[in-house]
Amino acid sequence: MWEIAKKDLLQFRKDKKSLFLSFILPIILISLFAAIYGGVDGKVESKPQKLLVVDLDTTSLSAEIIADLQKEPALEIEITDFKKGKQSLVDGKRSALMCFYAGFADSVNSGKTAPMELFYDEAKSMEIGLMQKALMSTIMNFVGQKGGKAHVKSFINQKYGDELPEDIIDEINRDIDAEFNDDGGTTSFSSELKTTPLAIKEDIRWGLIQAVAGTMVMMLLFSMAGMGNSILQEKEKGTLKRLLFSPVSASQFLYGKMLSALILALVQIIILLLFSYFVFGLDLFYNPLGLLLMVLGTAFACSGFGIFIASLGSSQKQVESISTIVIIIMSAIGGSMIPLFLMPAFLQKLAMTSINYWAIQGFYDVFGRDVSGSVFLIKPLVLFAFGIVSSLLAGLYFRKRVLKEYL
Amino acid sequence: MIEIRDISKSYGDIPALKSLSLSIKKGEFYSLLGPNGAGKTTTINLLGGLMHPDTGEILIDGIHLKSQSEKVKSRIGIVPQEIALYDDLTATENLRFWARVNGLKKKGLNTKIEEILDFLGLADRANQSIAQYSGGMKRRINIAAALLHNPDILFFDEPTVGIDPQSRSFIYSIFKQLSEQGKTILYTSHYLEEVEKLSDRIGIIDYGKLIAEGTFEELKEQSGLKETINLSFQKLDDEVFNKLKNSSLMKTSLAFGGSLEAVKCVFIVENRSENLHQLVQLFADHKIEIQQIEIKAVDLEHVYLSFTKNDLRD
Repeated sequence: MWEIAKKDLLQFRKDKKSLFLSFILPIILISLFAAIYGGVDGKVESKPQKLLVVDLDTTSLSAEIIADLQKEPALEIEITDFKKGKQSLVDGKRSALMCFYAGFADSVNSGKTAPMELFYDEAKSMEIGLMQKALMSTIMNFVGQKGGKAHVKSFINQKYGDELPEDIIDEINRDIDAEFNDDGGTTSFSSELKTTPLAIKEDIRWGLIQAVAGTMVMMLLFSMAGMGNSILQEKEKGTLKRLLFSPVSASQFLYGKMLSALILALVQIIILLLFSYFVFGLDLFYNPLGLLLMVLGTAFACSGFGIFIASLGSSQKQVESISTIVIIIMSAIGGSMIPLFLMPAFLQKLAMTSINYWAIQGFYDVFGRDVSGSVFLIKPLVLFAFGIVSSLLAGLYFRKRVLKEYL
Repeated sequence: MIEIRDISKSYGDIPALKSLSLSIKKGEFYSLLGPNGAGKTTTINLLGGLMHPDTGEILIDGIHLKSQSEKVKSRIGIVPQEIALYDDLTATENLRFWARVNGLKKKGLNTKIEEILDFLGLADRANQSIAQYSGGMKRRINIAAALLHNPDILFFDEPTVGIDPQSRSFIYSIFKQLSEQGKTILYTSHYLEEVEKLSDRIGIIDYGKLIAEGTFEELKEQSGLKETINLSFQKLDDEVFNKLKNSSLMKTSLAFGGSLEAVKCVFIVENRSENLHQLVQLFADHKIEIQQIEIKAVDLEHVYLSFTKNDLRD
């Protein structure tokens, strides 16, 4: 029995792929997720969330509350005007916009409900939930302190002004001033913060879009890596050599492989989208042209990735290992596995190096955001660029690594 | 038809071919023999346009292979050592694919495939995946894939490895037919008996150099090997032994081994049938009972080993 176990362990030790998948990959993933969830004991700082602020009141009080917001470590305040700010939101560049309307200071001073509104991208409602916590705490403290006394005085005046003599009312007001100063005390006063999602229609299911786009791109990358791996399979089987004996060039072979991968990717995307349409009711027809561009761009990028990965290895086993780790990492940082806003700043920047990021953001646009043409187009364009660069690199490495014994 | 002029090819620092030159005439069946690593497959890879020589040139029908490889490739059919087929596709699907990449038009292709499968005795298995085929059947399809586009030049690189004698015999009959059709064939194999039967000329290559070339008879002559007749008989007495030793046949024999005590002797002869007759007569005249006669002809294996020696190669 021991001999069998010993032999198995020896085989395992010699199998680099198993070693990699058993030890190295989990270590990489643990490190990655630890970084994402901030589990690396204070070494990874959570990123402050960007909040656009529009000051239409332009009073010292509105400037004061904005200054308070700027001190909040969880927020990164960007002052803007209303039109620009709203467009940034629509384009998906920013997640939320806080607007202090004209009359804000007057309302606070008179104890009335302050005119202010938080606009947000509904696609990022989870992110906004976390932002609101910091935002509400600052705003309510400020309004509570500033507007509390005025509110109570106004309330008493309205309610009992006619019944009580004026000197009693004055005495009550003096007591209120003594009890609730600006630096301390408490008040039960709270103002309402109106929140408005900026969505193009009512019934957008952002969770579904995230699930469909994230999973689809990740699985597509796996299929494309598998297709790319068939290049090595052809080499090991001898059919590649036979093909190169025939009037087929190395480039024709490689890009023929890419073409088959592209067709498969298109079919895969179409089937998955139709499934999501029929089973989950995903609206495929809001932006059909945009969707077409996204489908083509995603399929092209993934098929280019497939042949690029294949061209890096000299054996199927090697390529399987490389592709597994690259896809899992890309999916983790690119938003297929975890929403981007949960990630630390450096990972959010790193996400932009992944196909997943651009594909998911693009699908968000075509399924729910009313972004401007140029803001949307960058996503399929980046995907096409991914496809072009990776297929060109594949051509280079294919000759260097896969065909090296023939050249 | 095929001209290899002074080609050299190295893999890094390791030379595979050193100034190799050979020429194969139209319609000739030329076999290239050599130990493992001698340079046979490199030669076929170069001829098939898979790679280019470091120096030297290759001409197919006067056309430079390097400059017009696509034109030349369509005239060549190559059967590689490996069974280079797609296991998950059927025989028909495999043949259709290989025919198409070799430039065959769709029109009439199905008929051609049916014909060739019928010729190979595989018509009833046409729609089975290759994975379900026996080794011999796979080899036949492997050959068929190189024939569909009707090339006039064929390269066979160890095409009968690992199959049973029946399948091998069937495949040899295909080679014979192709040769009779006037195809120019370059063939490599370690089955030397068949090479001897099939080849018009044979080249022996070792360490990247052509060390011998010619018809089998020419190679035999170049090797200096002679046939031997081994005789076993009863122990001779002095008188008979001396008579035997002084006989005219013994004087004309190229060699005579054995002694008074020996019960065996070896004759290396020029003309097997004439010398054997004389020997039997001589022993009969002296009333010596022959217990065993063994005639050792010089075959291609002897010739091949005499050129390449017995030491093992990588």
